[in-house]
Amino acid sequence: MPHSITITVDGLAEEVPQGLGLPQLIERHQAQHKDLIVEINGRFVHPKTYHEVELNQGDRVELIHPAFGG
Amino acid sequence: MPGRYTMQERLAGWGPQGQARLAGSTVVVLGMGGLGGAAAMLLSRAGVGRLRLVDPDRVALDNLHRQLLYDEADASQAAPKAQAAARHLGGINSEITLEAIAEEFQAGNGRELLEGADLALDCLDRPQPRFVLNELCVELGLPWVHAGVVAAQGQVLVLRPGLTPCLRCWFPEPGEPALTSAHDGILGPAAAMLASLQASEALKLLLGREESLLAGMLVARLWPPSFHEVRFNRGDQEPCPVCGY
Repeated sequence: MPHSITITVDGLAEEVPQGLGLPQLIERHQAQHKDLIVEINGRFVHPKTYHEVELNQGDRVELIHPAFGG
Repeated sequence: MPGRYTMQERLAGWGPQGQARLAGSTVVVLGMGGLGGAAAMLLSRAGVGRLRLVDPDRVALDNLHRQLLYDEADASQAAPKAQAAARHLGGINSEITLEAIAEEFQAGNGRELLEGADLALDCLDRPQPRFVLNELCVELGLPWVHAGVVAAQGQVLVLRPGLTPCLRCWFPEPGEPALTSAHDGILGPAAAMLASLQASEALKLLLGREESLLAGMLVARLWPPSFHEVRFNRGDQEPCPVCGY
């Protein structure tokens, strides 16, 4: 049984497996959209680097879908 | 007796000089829906000297819950939005110049629509023309303020070519949006809120108050309430193919 860590996603606490990658988190939240904006601990994460990011205990993640209506 | 602009001229760093700057400014408002109508109303009341109002659509009844400029008479006549907006704004401030252009902003007419502008407001209603605007503004060196709204949320971004990331920096591979007003609706107060934030950034740019501008993307949600600013970070990625930032 892998250890779990607690992170915050869009303001809500969430328990996830230790070592979870950002792409897997995005998938868990069904947020796989090209226009997704990801922020971790107040920093923008460039889409081309999602695969390099592993989540850590206490991370604050925002998965932001921009609004393009007017 | 206080004049039309007395109360805003009293704001720190504004004064008659700031007011004169606004009077000498031209702003192009692209899209005259929930965002554009409210933003144009605020800028006309503030005394921006020339507003070019661009929208190919006509007013419909289902616009009225969020599009503050229009009324039932406009909807019953299916009035062209650009012309109806100019008529209402002219009644609010007869000292400014209003140009109504009932055309769709696109690559073919974009340069002409932006001619002579000090600033553009992106109040468009879908992603694709926003990226056309982005490329034109980079080419022309024209500052612009992006805003978007769907459901109870949206974002505002100030774009200054050569000084800030462009829209493609934020969205390297634009695609179909996850949220659409056709599916998710639009909350009237959310459109008005985003338009107010957008108009506020526009006034700062016109007044030369760059130190007070948003530094990142302001993401705002009303229901439940949440406001935060995302700061751009390219990391070690290649420079943007559009702006080179």
